[in-house]
Amino acid sequence: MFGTLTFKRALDKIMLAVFFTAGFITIFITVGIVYVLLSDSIEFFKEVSIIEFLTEKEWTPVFATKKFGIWPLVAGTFLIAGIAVAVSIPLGLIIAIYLSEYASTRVKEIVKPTIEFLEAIPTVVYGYFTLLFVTPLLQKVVPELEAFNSLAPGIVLGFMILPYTASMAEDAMKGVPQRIREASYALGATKLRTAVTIVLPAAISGVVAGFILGASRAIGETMVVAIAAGMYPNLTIDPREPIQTMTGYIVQVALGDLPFGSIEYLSIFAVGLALFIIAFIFNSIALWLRTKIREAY
Amino acid sequence: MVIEALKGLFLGASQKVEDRTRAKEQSKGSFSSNTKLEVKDLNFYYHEFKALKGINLKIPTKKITALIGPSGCGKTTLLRCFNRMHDLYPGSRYEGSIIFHPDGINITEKNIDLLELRRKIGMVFQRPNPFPKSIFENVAYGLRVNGVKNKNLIKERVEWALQSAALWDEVKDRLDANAYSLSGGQQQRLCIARAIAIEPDIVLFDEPTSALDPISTAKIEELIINLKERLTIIIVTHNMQQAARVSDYTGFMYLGELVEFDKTHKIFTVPSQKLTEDYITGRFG
Amino acid sequence: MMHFFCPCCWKEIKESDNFCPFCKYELITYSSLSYEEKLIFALKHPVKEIRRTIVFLIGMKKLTKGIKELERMLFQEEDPIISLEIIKALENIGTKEAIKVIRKGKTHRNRLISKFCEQREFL
Repeated sequence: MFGTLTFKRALDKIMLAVFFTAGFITIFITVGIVYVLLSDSIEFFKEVSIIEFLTEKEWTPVFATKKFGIWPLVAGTFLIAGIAVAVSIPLGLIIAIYLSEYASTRVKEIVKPTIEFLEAIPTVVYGYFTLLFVTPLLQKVVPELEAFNSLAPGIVLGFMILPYTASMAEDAMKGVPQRIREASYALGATKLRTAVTIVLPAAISGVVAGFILGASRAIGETMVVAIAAGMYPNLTIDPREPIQTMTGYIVQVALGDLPFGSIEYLSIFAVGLALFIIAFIFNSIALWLRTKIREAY
Repeated sequence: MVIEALKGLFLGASQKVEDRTRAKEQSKGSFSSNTKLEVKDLNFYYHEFKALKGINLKIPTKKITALIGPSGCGKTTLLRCFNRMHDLYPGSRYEGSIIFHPDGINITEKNIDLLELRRKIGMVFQRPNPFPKSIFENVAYGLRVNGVKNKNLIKERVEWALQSAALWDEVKDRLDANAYSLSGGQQQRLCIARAIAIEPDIVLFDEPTSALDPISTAKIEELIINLKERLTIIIVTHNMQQAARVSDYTGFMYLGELVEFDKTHKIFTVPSQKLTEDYITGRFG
Repeated sequence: MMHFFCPCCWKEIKESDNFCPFCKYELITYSSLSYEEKLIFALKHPVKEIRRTIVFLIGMKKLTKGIKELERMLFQEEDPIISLEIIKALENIGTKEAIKVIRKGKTHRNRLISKFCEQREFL
């Protein structure tokens, strides 16, 4: 009797420790990443001033005259993410409205997992698919489109982030109570009007949260852009030219044979830190918006 | 007191509507009956389930008709036939007819314009369901749906509807506030204002006070009684006292059938069916 | 979904029961009762909402046979809302006998109710 109680108490304590550790590991890893990024970035900024990092317009760490201006990489990143979002938002919205307001349960059961499956495809597949199929296809339509460019990977990323834009938007719209829809129909409103003027605004914070998470995913995406966008840091808004993104640069250096501890090697941590800050801001906004969803009704 | 004043206010407005209705009726010539809806042999199926069985009923014009009965008896189902709300969900099927006078349209007909029907037959739901928009936009929505673009006209109609719903004095200084900042009772009156803003012929009330406190309930009941000067009202309620207090006619439903339909006073003082007696006296429920 | 009650002891029973398993009331007797008698039976209903409605209906119907039971209830009822409903019902019935009960109500232990009865006198 007492034995079992002691046993139960011990078990309780052990399980608590297990759960506590499991929970803490995630925090520990995050803190560890931030520590590594920060410590190596500090090494980097001892040699390159933050002012140069933020004001210089060229990024040429492997050239004889090294210049460390982050902007070409940031521009490349945002150009691709911008194209991805420009493709994904309208498409995602249409899909979300269709799925939540029009589609029958059977259609939904097929379409939704299919969209979410897009997330499960290895990104390297997307990369070569872009390079070997999408770019040649686009070259037939877009004049002067180079073999490496930001347009094709941008479009492909737009589809790749549909699990965020379409699927999360649909989840948010589905969360709008049916009785609010009924109120609109009871006033003689059409389905489209109800979807666009009642359901979508009611779900807007969730929908936007999905868009931002999608954008954040596009910013952080590595494989597709490393394969299909080129390796040329280029401060441009022309989507036909080759560019390099922040993630693309990190891959290039990390896979190369640059000496450990060199300034070029350290630069990837500075870029990584910048990327981390951008992603952190985006995710925080998305999280804040998601907590706002339930406040409306 | 406020309500008395408001009653005077919207009597003027309602006069116009009445004149119009009268003119319409006269142009129809011989149509003299005071029946608004005529339900004939109505059956309603939800998938394989026969939810309504052979309903025959005449809803009188500008009167309050109450539908009572134990839960699951089909009273809400019948109510939602009148504006074809069932059509929003798959698996609903109607048999028989519901004639909408004076135009003589059959509501159960497959090809009728549902949007037009729902503009003429408004609805107030069991739980207040304002849109997550401003108070003003909630009432204006129906007008916008109906293609009213003139801003001044919308403003005028919103004010009129809010006055008719005895809510104007409470919200006139914060029309831009979110509708969810109102109390439950105010939200329900807002929903009534929203429904009457487009001047429907009929308003359906689906247990409109079941989620409200007694004081809000009393306000809504008073409001419903005032509205009958202008519209035909059908109210589903599980509260028999409410039916007895508010309505002119009462229908008692049981297991998908209309057991008894008569003047409210008669239903509650000398019911003709044993089943009605037993339900009223609480033998089952 | 649907609940059936014994009209005598108001415990929940089965629809098919011929006798109440609790108080042995013969249910066939009930169905031969008049509506008036059923209403008076229902004044003992356990659900407040229904009790209140029944009081209201007795007033609406001006059921003089119900006065005695209403008088008994007025002094036993826990819920003041129902007590007030009883006074309104008695007023509705309006016979001498009913007015007499309202007068008695002035001595009610609940101030709210005795006051309500006093106010009635002016009418």
